[in-house]
Amino acid sequence: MFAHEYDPLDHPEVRSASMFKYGLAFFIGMALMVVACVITLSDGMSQLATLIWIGILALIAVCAQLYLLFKLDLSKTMIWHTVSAVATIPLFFIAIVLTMWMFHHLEMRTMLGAG
Amino acid sequence: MSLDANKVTDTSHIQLFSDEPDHHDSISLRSLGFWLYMMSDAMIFAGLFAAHGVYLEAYGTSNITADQVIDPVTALLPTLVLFASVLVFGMASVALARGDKAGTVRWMLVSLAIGVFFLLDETAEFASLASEGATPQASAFLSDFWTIIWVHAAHVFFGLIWMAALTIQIAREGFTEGSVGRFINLRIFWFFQAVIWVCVYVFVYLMGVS
Repeated sequence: MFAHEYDPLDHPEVRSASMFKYGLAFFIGMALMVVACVITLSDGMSQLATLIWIGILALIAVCAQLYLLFKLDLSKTMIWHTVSAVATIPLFFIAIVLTMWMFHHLEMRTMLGAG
Repeated sequence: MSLDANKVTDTSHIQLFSDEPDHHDSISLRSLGFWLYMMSDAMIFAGLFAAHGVYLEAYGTSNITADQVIDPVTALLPTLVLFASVLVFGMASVALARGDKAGTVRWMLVSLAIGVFFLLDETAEFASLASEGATPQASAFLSDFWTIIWVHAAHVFFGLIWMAALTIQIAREGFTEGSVGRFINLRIFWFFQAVIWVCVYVFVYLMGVS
């Protein structure tokens, strides 16, 4: 009555598979991790500059993987995946940064971090 | 004609809601539901990374420091292995899109084997740390370090079990709506492990020695 026969292989999420994009995600991810490793091990930058640069490289790698592997875009098939990811990523970083900020100030006031 | 003539007296055959959804796109629905689960899973890692930021130099009475147990160059190997497993699973996805059952099963098995190698490499690394006394009990930093790596490894472990089960199912039943839907969800889960590993490698392995 309601069930219609259709080929699941015709589904847009199945058709979105792309060897080029998966290969590109692999090479971008590996290249950025190697560059981040080299930056970390070299003595050419201050600690803060190193942290900022490897953070930027990680962000680029994550964004590239989200786009190339998950095909997050504004198409009808993927719009809600994209919206939920865009809404989650700030929460992800807020949770990390605010927790570190709170414990940093706790440490300053109580010296719990001593030793 | 009177209104009473149209009056329904027997309501037993009336069905207000269908037994099956009428949108016919259960794959999209399941994919979105599983994607939202993965977003909540990401918040677990956010909590672990936050703890890592707090405990990064919390060695307590232990004399084992981060730069003694973390080697970013050695950690490039599991990075390469996990990314390769994801790439090969992508090849299984391409075979699935072509309707190539043998190719899909073959690439899933290769991805599975590479994933097993990833776990064995992690096990060897941490067995070495444990033999040197760098156990989770030694300091807050080491508790956090072990927890982050092994929570991620637990994800990989369950992903491998899922992959093995789905490989058998696809080999036996072919591409049904159920198996294709599960493949799409496993693809989300497996690719997600690579995204999380980028954060693990940078926040834990690189920031630990910078």
